[in-house]
Amino acid sequence: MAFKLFEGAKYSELVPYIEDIKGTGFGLADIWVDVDRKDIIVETRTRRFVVNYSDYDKLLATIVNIARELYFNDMLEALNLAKHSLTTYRSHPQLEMEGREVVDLLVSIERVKEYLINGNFTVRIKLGDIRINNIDDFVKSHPEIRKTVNDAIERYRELCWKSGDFDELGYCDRVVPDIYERVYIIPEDKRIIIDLVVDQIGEVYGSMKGYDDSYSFLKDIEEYKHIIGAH
Amino acid sequence: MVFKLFYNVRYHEITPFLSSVKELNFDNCDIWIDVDNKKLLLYTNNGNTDVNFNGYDELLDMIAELGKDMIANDLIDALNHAINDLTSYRSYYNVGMDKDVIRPLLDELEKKKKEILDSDFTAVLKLGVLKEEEFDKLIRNDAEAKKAIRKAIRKYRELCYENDDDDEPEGCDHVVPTADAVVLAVPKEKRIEIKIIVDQVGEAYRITKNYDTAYEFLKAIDEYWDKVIPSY
Repeated sequence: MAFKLFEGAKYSELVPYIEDIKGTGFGLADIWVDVDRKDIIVETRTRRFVVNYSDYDKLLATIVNIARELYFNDMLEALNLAKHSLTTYRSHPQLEMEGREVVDLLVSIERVKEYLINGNFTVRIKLGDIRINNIDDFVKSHPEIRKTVNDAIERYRELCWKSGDFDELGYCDRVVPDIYERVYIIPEDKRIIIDLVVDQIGEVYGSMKGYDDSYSFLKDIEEYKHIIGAH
Repeated sequence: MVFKLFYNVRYHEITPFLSSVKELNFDNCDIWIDVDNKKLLLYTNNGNTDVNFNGYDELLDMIAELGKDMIANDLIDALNHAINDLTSYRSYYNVGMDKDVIRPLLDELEKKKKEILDSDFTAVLKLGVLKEEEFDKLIRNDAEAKKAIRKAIRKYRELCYENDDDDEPEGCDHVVPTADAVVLAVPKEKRIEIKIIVDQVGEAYRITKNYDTAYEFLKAIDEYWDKVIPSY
């Protein structure tokens, strides 16, 4: 079954890595992956391109390249915008602040840009969240995180008591936060990372699965996408 | 002489310091200063008004406070914009990186905001860039400035030689960079600074003039106003 991996990717970002779409010049496209057929499907508003790969390593390599390109462009644009805001977004440009200008911040932004331009990064793609409906069952099947989960629930209740928003006596003693498994993939390393996230507390536990071959990695991604979609 | 000191100043930036103008209920205004008559003149989108001061010290204090408030607001706005750019401007929210390179930047931006809000800083008013004839006069009459500019020109030519893109390196022997003299006033310290900035080299020379009284300082600003191309 095919799953959607990226949304709204620009033509210019895809064309260096997908030969088949050259010259078509569309605006934006969604990228789907069909693991069984070894296909990448580029779906635009009006057209659909199916690109077939001879093996799973090549399919995965294309996913990595596209992800890196999307992330790089996105971050560079955000950093340039931030730089622009610091340098030109001024109502009173004739005023300065002695010794406390934003030059050091601009230097830091440039440093991050340089870091990205040098390609010193590994992309991480968020597949989505899986809500844990029955926490007791979840803890039973993962006894190693029982204490972590209980501590997080306790902290959540403390926050509830501190907020004082709840008139009903005893509400905070019983309240149970939403708990999710947040699933990320690191395609370059063939790794899947699952963080346990508790509402208002954040990430409390992380686990990682490594894969030796592209096929089993991609199949597991497909499986997680299916579970996430079902939620 | 009367000259424009600040322009497009928002109502909420002025009223904490000049409560007398509250009733005008304007959006923004330009602030002019009449040094001889110890007055600030406010030209707002809802009428004009004058604010008189008893002494020059009082007038100068007001300028320093207003300037400080305006630059603080301005920088906080710019920092908030930058934070928003880094956190909200994303086309692909699901694609990230194994290492969070943005968090340290956001921390730095927040730290800068805190510094601005918590600390005692000095506002600097950029009056403008010296007009060409004034710049020439300054260089003619100041041997040290002349020497510093010559040194900066040499540095500029060295940079030109280092530039591999130049097809005709001998052109660097004669190239002359642009140079400007920026005039800055520091009201809180009754100081005027003239910085000579050379293209690609940066600050080549600085002249600092300190004034003993608010009156002398304000008169000096008044005189410089004729000699500069204003910043706004």
